[in-house]
Amino acid sequence: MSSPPLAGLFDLEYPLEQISEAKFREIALLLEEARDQPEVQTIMERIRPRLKRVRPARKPNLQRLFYLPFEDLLVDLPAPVDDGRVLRRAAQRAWAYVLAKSDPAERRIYQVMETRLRRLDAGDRSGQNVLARRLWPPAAILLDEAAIGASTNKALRHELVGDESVLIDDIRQIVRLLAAGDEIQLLKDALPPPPIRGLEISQMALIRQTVANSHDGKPDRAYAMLLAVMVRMSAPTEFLRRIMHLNLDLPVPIKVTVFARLGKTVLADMAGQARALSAQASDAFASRVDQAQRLVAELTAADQVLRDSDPWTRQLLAELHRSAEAACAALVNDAALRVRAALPAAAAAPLGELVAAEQALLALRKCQPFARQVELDRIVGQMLSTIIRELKIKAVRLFEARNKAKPPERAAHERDLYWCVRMLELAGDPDEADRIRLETIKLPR
Amino acid sequence: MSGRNGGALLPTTFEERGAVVAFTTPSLALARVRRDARQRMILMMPNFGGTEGAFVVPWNAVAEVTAMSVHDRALHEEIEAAEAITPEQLRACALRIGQTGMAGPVVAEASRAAAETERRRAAELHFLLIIAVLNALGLTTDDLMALGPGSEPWRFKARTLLGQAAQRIGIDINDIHTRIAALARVLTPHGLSAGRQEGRLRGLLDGFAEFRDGIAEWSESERSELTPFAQFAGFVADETLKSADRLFRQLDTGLRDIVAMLRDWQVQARPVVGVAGKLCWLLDGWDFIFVFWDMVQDEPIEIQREAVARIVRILPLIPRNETEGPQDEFDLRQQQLQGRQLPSSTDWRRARGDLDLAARIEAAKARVVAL
Repeated sequence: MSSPPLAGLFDLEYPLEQISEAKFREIALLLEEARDQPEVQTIMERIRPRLKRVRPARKPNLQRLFYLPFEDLLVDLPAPVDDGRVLRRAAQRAWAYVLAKSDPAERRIYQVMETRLRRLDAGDRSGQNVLARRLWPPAAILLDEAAIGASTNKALRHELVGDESVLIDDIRQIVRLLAAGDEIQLLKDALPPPPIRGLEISQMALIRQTVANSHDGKPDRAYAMLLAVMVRMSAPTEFLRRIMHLNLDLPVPIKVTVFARLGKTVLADMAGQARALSAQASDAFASRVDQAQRLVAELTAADQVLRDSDPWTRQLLAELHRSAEAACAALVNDAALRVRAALPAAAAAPLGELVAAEQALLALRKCQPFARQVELDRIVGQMLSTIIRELKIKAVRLFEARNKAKPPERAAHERDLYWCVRMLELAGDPDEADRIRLETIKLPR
Repeated sequence: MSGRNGGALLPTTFEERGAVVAFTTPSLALARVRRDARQRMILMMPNFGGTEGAFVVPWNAVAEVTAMSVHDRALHEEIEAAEAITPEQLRACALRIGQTGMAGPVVAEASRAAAETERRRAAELHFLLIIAVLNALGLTTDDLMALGPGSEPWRFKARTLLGQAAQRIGIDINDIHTRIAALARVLTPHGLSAGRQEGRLRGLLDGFAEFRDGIAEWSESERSELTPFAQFAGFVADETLKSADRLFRQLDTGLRDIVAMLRDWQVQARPVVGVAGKLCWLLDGWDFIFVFWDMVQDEPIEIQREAVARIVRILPLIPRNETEGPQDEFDLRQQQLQGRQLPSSTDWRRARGDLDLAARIEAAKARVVAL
């Protein structure tokens, strides 16, 4: 009986996406071992989202070491994006080229390195770093020469990127990052794992010092180091805003150029965020408002970072502002509608509806602090005032109805009154909420 | 009263440690209420000033110290009216106010379900105790078991059989009814041993080992100043679990001869009731800690550190007079923490309303209520 194809793993009763985390880690390790099989590559692509989330300790191999300086920039997109990120297939091409075109002595060294690497533990970072530092410089030189030659030599271009000549820019980006691989790895080892939510002063000082001492007057090196750290941040633009005020020992015009190039990456990131925010039209108000808050904070930081950039970048930034405003406005409108739709049923609504109405109201409140930055402060304020007014009116009617109701029906009115209390508090009027609570307590039993 | 800086701050009794109030205002969350020397209610707020120890506030001045949520104002009034200062009294107040929905619909739903569960457990326990007494006296319970508990024929049959039981024990029929009912009331939070009925507090014991092992594992991989504090939290959990195990064994032993207890009520019931009360105090506050810990398991390390610091501040230390084992290791571990400072927990102490934090506390409260 022949063994079933590996893709059948997804048709099992418990497919790879659903098995326990421990089992998934084991299978990820096995797949990593057999990554040269074509079918395994397909499976790896399919489970990549879960791999990213679970981050199993992967058995190191030479290709993975090669990827380390630019691993956070890898993306799977149909075409190059020219925003600093690197297409995964360009990285695969680069690695294949390095393996194929290195001289025989270097290839023998790679084989020895691969053997040593397999003997290392998955967590032996220092052992891996030693090998990686041996790997990057010659690979960077080889790829750099190939990228230069590829512009005039068709055969060389074909060897490097096949029919996709557009990948040459990505190869150049890989070269930049490999050339600064030592410093990038040093910074990655010293900083928390991504997404980095904040850096301490000592960590910022380390980044500044590393960049200032290691750029050797080459903007590409400073750019590569800053980019590699920046993409690991949860708020990359805010990181740029903080680091741009530090002395990186770069002449001002070069510093402006470096930050403009970094700006391309953050603008692309923010454009993605704005698209994701406007695409969400669900009741997931908590995540929507978090996304909006992050986007607006990043835009505010970008205004400062890219103040002196070229007109094209500034225009892009202005467009982003408009998209962010539209996305936030949609969020605010949806939230207000959701709250007002909950008024008639009040506490009698199903639990899911009650939670959704509260989340929508909280989203409106949480929009308040950043609404001014997207010129929505007046609208948010008005919406909250309207909701408060309508809740007060509802409370007055509930008191009247409760007083007229027969004893068995009173409990339902009182539950609705407490619902008004809760919603008034969430809407930002706790005093009025407490007044209604006290009046409810005083109602004759 | 964290007691982390030497034994002087360690409470001497459970009553002095106070009982946790399920407030939702961040600065009041997990504050403890107790009576002062003049029998007035006071609130001890954990680490309000960012320093060691507790911030003690007269009960009627709490609203002047911090802006309370509307739910907390209602709970504050309810506790004052009921003069609730024991864990079970406070839980009853929290369930009553929780059901209004002022801490959100999830808390309301959980409170209603918990109140219903407790009513059902109390009735079940009452039934199980009656069966246990009748079986112990050799009275046949087959007819009783066949009838639906709580139905009129069941009540009639139970009354008849309990009358016979009272006669055999040599006590008044009214006494047997009131004594079994009293025992059922006292034991409802604990339940009975050997899987006869899993009470809320017995169920809580599973959380200790999980928390102790989890935080120990966390402290092994942690390289910050929190490491010794996390180890201390694991140690306190372990000590509490040992004490709880010992007390549950005492409780179960005391209940083994239920007939003797009903006969010699004044002498034999007192220690059982005392142990049951002690267990309520001992385990008070741990449910929140388990939930807080569980809530940050998949969170980034900074949030986990914040949670560990918060947990260490509110650790329910066993009072000095309530421990039965030697105090040496505890003292040694406390000494190891001397001179070390927990990182300040800014959001926890923020005076201004923090919507996210309040929502997280409400979510924790809903899970605690549902335990």
